[in-house]
Amino acid sequence: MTSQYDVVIVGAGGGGMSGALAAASKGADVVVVDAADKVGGTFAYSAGLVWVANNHFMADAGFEDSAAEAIEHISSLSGGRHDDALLSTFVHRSPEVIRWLTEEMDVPFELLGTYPDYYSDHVGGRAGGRHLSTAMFAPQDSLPAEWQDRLTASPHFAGVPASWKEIQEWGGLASMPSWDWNEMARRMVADCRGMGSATAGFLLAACLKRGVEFRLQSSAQRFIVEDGRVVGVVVAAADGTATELRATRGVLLATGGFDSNDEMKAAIDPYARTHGIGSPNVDGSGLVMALEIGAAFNALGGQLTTPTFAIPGEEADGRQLYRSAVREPAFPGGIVVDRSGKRFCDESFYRSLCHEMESFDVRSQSYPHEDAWLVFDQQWKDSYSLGPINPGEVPPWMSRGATPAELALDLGVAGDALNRTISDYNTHALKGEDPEFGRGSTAYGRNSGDRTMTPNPCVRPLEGQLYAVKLHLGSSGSNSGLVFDDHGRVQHVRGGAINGLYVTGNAAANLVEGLWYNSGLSNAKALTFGYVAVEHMLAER
Amino acid sequence: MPEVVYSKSVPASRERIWEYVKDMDNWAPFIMGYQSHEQKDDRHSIWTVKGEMGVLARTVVFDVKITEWLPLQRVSFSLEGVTEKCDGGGSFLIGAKEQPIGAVSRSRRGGRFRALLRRWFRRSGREEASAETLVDSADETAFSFTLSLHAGGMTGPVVNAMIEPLMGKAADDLAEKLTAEILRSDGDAGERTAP
Repeated sequence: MTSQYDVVIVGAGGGGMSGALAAASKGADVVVVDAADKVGGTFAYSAGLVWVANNHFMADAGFEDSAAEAIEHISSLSGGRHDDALLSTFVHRSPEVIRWLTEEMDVPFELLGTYPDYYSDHVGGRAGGRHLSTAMFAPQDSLPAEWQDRLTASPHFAGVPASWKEIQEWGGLASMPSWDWNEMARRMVADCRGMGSATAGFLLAACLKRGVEFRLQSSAQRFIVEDGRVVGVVVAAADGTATELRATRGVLLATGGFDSNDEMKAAIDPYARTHGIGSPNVDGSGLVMALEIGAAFNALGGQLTTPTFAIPGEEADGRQLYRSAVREPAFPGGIVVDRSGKRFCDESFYRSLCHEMESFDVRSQSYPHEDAWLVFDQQWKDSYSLGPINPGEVPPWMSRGATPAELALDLGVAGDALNRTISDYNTHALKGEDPEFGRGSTAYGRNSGDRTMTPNPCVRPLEGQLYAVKLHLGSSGSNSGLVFDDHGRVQHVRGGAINGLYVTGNAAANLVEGLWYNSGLSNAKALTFGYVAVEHMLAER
Repeated sequence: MPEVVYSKSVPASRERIWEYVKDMDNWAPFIMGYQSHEQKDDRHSIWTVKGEMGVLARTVVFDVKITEWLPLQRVSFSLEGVTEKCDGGGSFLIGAKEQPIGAVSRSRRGGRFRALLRRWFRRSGREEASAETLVDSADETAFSFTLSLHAGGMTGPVVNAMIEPLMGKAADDLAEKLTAEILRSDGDAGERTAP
């Protein structure tokens, strides 16, 4: 069976739907296929933040910004691994795409004014204004009945139907007791979505309104190549029936990375023991299809990692759920230690924590910080949530000890060392200081901490009863991926573009930013290059 | 507090129903998400249940204590979450006279209609049971059960909103399986006593 379209898009996440909207709004006939039975992909699993420098909301809100400063910021922090043309395209086009989505496609992005860049103190950085997210999405109001259960819900935010703007207004993640839980319960009953699922919902509604065709539970098998040009995709339906979807203008690959494929991670990543926390369908199959026809691949070093913890017996997508713990290590009254009982990083900056956890020490030929625990005291326990665990609540699986030695015994770490670590830390923490690793020394770290804690929102001595949870590295995306140009065209391993094949999202290597990262970047790149790629394929003759 | 009330008439004697339900080993595996249970003594047991709450599945351990044990009539129990901050209780009742206030057969009334009735009776101050009368007869015995579960703490309202639909489904499922099994065991008993 064969079907003909102008544009075929593989992957119904944010990047795929942005491309589909670009196609449909220009009158092209477009189909989106996805192996999943729901729409949203990695985007819907995410927190939904979108990082766009010099976006159109900033000027109205009094933030100054420019493309030149954003480019200087990223290029000076990329470790020399970014591509100038891709960076320039992203920085210049992303504000335009966000404005188009907001004003013409009814995807209501809003500004998170006080959310700082990770490296806001660095040249070209900003203490706020570059992060956007969407308002709440109500499937029952905005989607046709047959689509209302086709929108992916993130297990990470299943119990938090709120928007980022609301969370910021309610005092941030360290102030969960003051959130409006009754309103969220009402939204839960109405299946209202927040964060990445909300944005995916708005994108889906816009796509359906403009006649985009979706083929779900349709797994892409291989590209159809004729005369060196990609002219379509063979997809298999759930019953195994194969269909050729032919594209006169181009194929956009938006299948994500390989974060849920342990075999590929073991083959490619320097540190392979990460747990996929995004869609289980992000298994690298799209990358394999591209590699089969000679696509160039850039191994940019592992996964986009996040500290996580596991609640025994809690599952999503048929596997253990690893819950994000990006902010919790930044809360005052807690530290992170490894098996030696010592601290090893600035815990208020999760990238630093992840980097150290996955670092390999050639002296000992080991990963010395791989086994890591978030250790916190009674006041921390009484004040903050740990994922869905309420303040004050101590589940039986949570390690505890009346003294550092007692806790160390429970964890299997060096007792004397843990005692010394806490004692040394407390000496300076009394003054709100952490001279060893600089907790709370960045605007991002302070934003992650408890804003009611002075002088340092991330630092307070640990006192009394202690608790601990083991941390694991979760992966929400892949840094490595396909090489592409500033039109989104996939490059051949021998150079030049593979005609007809485009890429967006995590299927593409992190060539825009190299070794730099900021929350919301992956989503912003997906939306931007989805649009840019389709624009190019429709313009090309 | 999320609460479910379920009533049904079964073509079996009161004795037969009691004989079956008094031993929790008989029906424990019929509880939706049942993983295991461990009987500490004749009044105290530990239950492990895996609940599907939307996109999440959570394994929860409950401490269950029998608070009332009236043979052929009723069993009441309390629930206390071991791994989660939630508690509640319930009862299992045999016979029309023992029907709980508000009891109505879930299996006989559609969701929307039932919700409408509930709202109306709540507004008017009357009890829902008046919408349907369950009777014991020579051929049939009514049974019912109630279950309430309440998640506390800061996230309680959201968790309660998540578990309420789950409890309805679990009640429907348990009642259907219980009925089928009581009837099946009744049939087996009949066959065994046949000449």
